[in-house]
Amino acid sequence: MTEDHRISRRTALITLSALGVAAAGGLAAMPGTAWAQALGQNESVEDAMKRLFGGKPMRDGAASVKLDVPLIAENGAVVPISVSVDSPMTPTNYVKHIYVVADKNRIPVVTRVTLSPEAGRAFMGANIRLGESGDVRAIVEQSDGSLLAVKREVKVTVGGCGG
Amino acid sequence: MDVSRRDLLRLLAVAAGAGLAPRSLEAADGPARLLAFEPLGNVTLLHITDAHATLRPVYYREPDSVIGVGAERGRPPFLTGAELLRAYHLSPGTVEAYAYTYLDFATLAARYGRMGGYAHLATLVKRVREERAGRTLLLDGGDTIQGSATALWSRGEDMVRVSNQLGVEVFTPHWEFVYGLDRVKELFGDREQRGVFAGDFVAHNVAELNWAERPFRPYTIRDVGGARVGVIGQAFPYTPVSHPRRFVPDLTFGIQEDGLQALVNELREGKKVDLVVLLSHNGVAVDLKLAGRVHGLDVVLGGHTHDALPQPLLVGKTLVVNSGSHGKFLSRLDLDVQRGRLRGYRYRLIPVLAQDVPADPDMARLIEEIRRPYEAKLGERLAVSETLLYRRGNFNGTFDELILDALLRDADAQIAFSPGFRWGITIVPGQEITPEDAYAHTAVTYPNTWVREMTGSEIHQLMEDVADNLFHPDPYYRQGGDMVRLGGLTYTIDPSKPVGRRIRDLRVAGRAMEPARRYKATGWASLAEVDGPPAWDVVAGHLKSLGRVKLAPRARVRVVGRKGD
Repeated sequence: MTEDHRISRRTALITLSALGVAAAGGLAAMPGTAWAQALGQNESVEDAMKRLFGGKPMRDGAASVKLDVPLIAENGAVVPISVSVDSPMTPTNYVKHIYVVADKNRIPVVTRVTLSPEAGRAFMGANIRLGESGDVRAIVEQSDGSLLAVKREVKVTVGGCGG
Repeated sequence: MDVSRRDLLRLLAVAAGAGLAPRSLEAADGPARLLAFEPLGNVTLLHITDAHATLRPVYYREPDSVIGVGAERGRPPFLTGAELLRAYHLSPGTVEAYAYTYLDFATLAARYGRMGGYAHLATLVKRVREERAGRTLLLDGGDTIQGSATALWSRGEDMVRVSNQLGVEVFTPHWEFVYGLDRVKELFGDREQRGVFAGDFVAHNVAELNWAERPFRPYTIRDVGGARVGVIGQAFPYTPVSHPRRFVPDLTFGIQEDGLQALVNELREGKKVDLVVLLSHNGVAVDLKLAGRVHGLDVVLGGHTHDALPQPLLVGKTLVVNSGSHGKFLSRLDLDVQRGRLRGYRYRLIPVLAQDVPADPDMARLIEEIRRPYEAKLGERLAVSETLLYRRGNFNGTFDELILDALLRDADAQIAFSPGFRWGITIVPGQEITPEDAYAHTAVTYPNTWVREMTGSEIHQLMEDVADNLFHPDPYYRQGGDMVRLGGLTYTIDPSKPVGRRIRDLRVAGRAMEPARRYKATGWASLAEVDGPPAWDVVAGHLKSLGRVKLAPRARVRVVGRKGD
């Protein structure tokens, strides 16, 4: 089982060290419906992207960024996600930040992970909360400031009615 | 098998060569013709799937609507009725039309009789095993131990016993999990020890939630006809969202291309197998996508969506087979496997025609023993139907209408919901309906009914959500059921539209549904814990009070967005 969307013991430990204890908002603390959604959108994803990246161009990261997240969440309150980037991690060329953005969340910016060349590889994993079905994006900021983005639709379904 | 005139002549020649009088093949369109199979190669895979605990022969009408979206539309497996016959060069009014389509169902059912039944299936399996000694492997794609009263009452054990008697050698699950993980382990074992089941239970995409440990073995390797055959199990990927979470609270599933690719590579390079088979409970559209993205699969033996594919679909070099449901068919796939390469194949989706295949006495005895304590209770006459009653199809079937009527009446509600399960047998006109039949449409471990108020907009959203599970343009986002069945409500649907925009013109008792208004709704098989009377009692009670069932056609769902609309 290598880097599929489940979190292995090793990955979890790596994740903990990458995120530190102060994991950013959006990490699921308890299961259950994301009631916060009912309060309405706190910030639109467009505003959030503008705030974070201004008008900076963003390239399609499909060739080097791997976003692993279930297509249909088994539990919207705890959705395992990992992002790995095929990139050198040298002092002159490395992945500096990985952002996770959930378009439909009340607060779309779920987390920003800061990496350094010492991390050895550009990887992060976390459990995030998704309020409803929508795109989840991983945005990679490289040390030269360039941006790569990938996204995937994740369904948070009422379920049932299986064949 | 796509039997053309040429094939038929060849089969006759083969039969003659084997010393069979041509008369024994009966008329050219006789059912026995479908049992003649010219063997090929050194490996015979026998595949059954989605039996849904159908111990005895039944009627099961194939769907009249299976709508594909985008590029899928109008191509196999999204073909039904006359379109399907045309695509496979088959004729209406034949045994193939009866087995593979809904056309003239009542008429052809009277001619060709019931299908399936483990005793008849056992005879066919035995015959092939005798003919191909040492060269066969029998695989079951799951959904085997749910769907009948006796399976429910024995918590799946009766079906595991008949599976052992049949000699099932490899198995992968879905509905098995509604008895809970502990019960699955008792019946099928786990990666450490065996259970009641005598074969190998494989499921690569099931893991414990926290640490990604697999509770079951991901694959098994069998020697068949001198070839090493690796079989990877693919359990239904969306088990936790399709059933109450309480049955598998600590397991995670999903579609894992990378994990599967790693296993295929391990089998090919590390274990030096000659053939890689995926025994899948994905559903056919997911199988087709997966086969195009994971390299090195020779064969996918699929189930879940109950598609009876008359021929395998080829994706690159991968053969994708789907073998129908309810014991109606035995798939036979003969393969020529030489030094790690698949060099040729021959296939038939063999209809198990109970009146043309004698029952195997040992299996018949076991089934009788299983049923004896319950026979009287299950055989009681509840009603007689004048109407053909069925469930399968993308939208409400006539048996669903009956269930919805029962729910609406019992709860005195305005709107009723019933899941779009693809299982549930067919009742032909003139047939008695028994408690056994009511269970065959409702036997789940979460059968309770519920009643509550819902706003028009909640109802609409729920319908959109379920429609997206059926018509999402990407098969990986589909759960494989049909559309939720609705009573008390009519609507228009355009499957080609995106989520949130497919369903419109909702009407309750003829009047436009108001988004903010509250409606009294009822249903069963909820994912939450509810405590209304179980669906089988509600349905049986309704049938008894009716005595005779006669349903006029109901204009329930208008489907638009297809060619010509």
